[in-house]
Amino acid sequence: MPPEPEKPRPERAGTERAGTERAGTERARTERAGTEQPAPFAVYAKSANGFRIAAIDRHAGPNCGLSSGMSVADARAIRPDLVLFEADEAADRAVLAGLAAWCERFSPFVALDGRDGLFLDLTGVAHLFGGEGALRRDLLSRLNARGFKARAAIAPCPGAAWALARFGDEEALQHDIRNPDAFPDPAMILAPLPVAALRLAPAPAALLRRLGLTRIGQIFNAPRAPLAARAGQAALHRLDQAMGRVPEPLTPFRPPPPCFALRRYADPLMTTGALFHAIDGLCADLATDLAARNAGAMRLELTLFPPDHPGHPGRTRRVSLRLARPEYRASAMMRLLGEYIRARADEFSTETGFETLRLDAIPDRREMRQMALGTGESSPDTRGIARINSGPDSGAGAAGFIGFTGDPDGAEAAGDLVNLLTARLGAGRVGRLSVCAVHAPERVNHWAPETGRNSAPGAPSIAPPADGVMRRPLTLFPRPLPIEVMAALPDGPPAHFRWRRVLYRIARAEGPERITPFWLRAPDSRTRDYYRIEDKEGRRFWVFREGRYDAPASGPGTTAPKWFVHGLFA
Amino acid sequence: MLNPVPRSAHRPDMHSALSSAAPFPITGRTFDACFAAALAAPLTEAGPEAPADRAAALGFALAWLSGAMDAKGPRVWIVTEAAFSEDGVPFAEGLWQFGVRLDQIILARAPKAKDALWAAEQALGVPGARILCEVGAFGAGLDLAVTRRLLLRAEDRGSACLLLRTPCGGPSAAWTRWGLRAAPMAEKGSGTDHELGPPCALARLTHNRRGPGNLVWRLEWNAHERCFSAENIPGNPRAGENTGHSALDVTMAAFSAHGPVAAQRAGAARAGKAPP
Repeated sequence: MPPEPEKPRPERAGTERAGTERAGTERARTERAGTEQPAPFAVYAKSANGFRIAAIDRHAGPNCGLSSGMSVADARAIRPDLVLFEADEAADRAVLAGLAAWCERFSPFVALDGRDGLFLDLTGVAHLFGGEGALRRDLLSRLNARGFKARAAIAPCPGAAWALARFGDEEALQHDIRNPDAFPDPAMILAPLPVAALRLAPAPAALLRRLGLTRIGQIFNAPRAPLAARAGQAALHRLDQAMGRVPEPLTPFRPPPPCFALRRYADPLMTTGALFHAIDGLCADLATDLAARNAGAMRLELTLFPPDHPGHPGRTRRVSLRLARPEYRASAMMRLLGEYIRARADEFSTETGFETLRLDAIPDRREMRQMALGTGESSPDTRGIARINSGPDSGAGAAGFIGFTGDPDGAEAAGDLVNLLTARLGAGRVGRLSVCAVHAPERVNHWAPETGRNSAPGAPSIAPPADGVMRRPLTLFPRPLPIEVMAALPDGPPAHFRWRRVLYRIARAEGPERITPFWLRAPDSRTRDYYRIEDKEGRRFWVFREGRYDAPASGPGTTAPKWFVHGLFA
Repeated sequence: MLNPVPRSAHRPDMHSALSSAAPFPITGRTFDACFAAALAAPLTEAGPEAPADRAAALGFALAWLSGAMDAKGPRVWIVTEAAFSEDGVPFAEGLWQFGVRLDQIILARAPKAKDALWAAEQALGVPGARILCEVGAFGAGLDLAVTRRLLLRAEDRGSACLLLRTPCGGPSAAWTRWGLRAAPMAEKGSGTDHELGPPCALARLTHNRRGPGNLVWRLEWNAHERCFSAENIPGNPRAGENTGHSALDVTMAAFSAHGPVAAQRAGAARAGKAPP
């Protein structure tokens, strides 16, 4: 029986490149790492006609006689000592997703492929690792150290990378794609591969096999029309994708940034000073890139990758900063990131240090849309990044800025201030209040963070009372606070009450103002009678009685009315 | 952590900084003059005289914030989360009556008082900014060094800050300090027993670096005109309690109780001469 590519699960890569992982057995092996288990083991899953082997331990060896796809009964007959685990697809997916996140240290574009493969787009990053070949070796050795047996191939298009990683021999995998002499036409490399490397559906694959067309080379130059008539248009499309004749869009695991800077260090950065120095350099790189594109970032994402210590996987740290206005200055970006990290020093202290740092400039979705709709001025390179200079869209981040109605310099300073405060205090802590037109007082206020807004703020629609009477408090408690009422009157405010252990004697009162809660949202809440009261010292409160004294005394849920304080007047 | 102290903060004596502000304007004794001085001062302090009077102090602070709504820079309101949970969150309609428009205010919620002070210092760096910083019960953390930092930054950039602190006391570099207390509504004839009038408060100017201190007014907020109407309270009970004699009826700077300028002026006042 031929050694199936079971245990090693191919790991592919390409210029559009791919990595594949057989997560199942590796996960099971890792989980059992403590127990030395000489017997081979396999993962089975329920498929077509019963339980079948889904993956086999790579330590079982190529000549163990097992192959994935055979039934569990057959496998047991061949190897009675075989240890079997049931497949856990969710856990496998989680492992693959974790691996995809790990692979982001090599490229910001990582796409999942099926349940055991990854695509990495190496455009513009290979030189950081010493070339494609060095990157591939680095990737494989690191994966191996993490306990994964993987295969990787680098090719100009995803289809070819997939085919090579799954079916190519070692020689084919090591082609240097940068060298046109060493890596001629992909057709030459793909020709000896089986037709299955084209990612065909079962029916056309079976048809080609029946026709005796087993190698890709046999159908390269076949007449297209008859082939399409028999095998279907989809098969031809797959062939074209493998040849790089048609583009193959991939969906990234996380959206790749249009602009990023990446730095790797031979030794991990252990101290905060070294880390800040590195981030400073990253900011300078990114600022240069942004300046070349005449653009600014609406969001900054810094990813800190720890080094790979076998058995001690470090935690990847991610800093995500939303900005109130497009940022393009290195010093400002450094200040924001530094302030964020300084405020959370515990989170960024690590025993292992950081080895690779990547800083992404991510655009605002609104800017992205505007750029997509914009005139031909926006080249594909600048698409998705907010432009700084002139133009009606450029000022959206700054001119529509709240707390400010003045010259652009002031708007810039105010935007910088919001960015800085947000970086230290946290996203969502800097913003503004707006109002909703609802009756329930606790739902009137609406908090809107200042960064990441999608529209310029408008003036809140508050209708001040014409008679000038202050009917609403200065501050409102999100949850009404219960008060202890001593002398409750059936149709008026209490004579005195106790709140936070202090006794307040009421001198004056106004009310009641009856507010009935929104029955759809809060079917259980009762009618509230609000009073504005002033105690003997002149302190003013907004209190309410929940429930009515004349409510029916019987029935479910009827209790005596309760009193709460809901707000304070000046 | 706070940024390094500006160089001028390391000056050995405070008087060199103060003497640079000559000619030395002395504010009048009316509330309007004193409040105008507070509006123009780079650093002002206000606080409730009792914990239950926080809303009154907040009303005064908002009036200060709205007193210069046509200012060039941004208006920032910094609150600690503790103050939020203690006094409730700002309510739009109530704020509007104090002349503060929500769409013109940047609201920053600081996890701790230290963060609030840091945020205030950063906000003061924006020229023309007006900052209302509510630090709550900060205790011993808010001392002369911290407030002086804020003052120097505000003077440097032409911005202004009002510190709203709950125990309003202790050493501070603020130009004026106000203690606020809720006041019952004035009795204006009959028929008003069950109607609350405009907000009232007792404001005590406890510290004034450029004018008379220890003055008390009874304030009523006029929501239409967006201003206080003040009524002078004759006599000063607190001064009588503490020192045993009434406050000097002489216009003099509450500069420093032990400094040379104060001694010179006090001597001139005792000799019956008009202060320079």
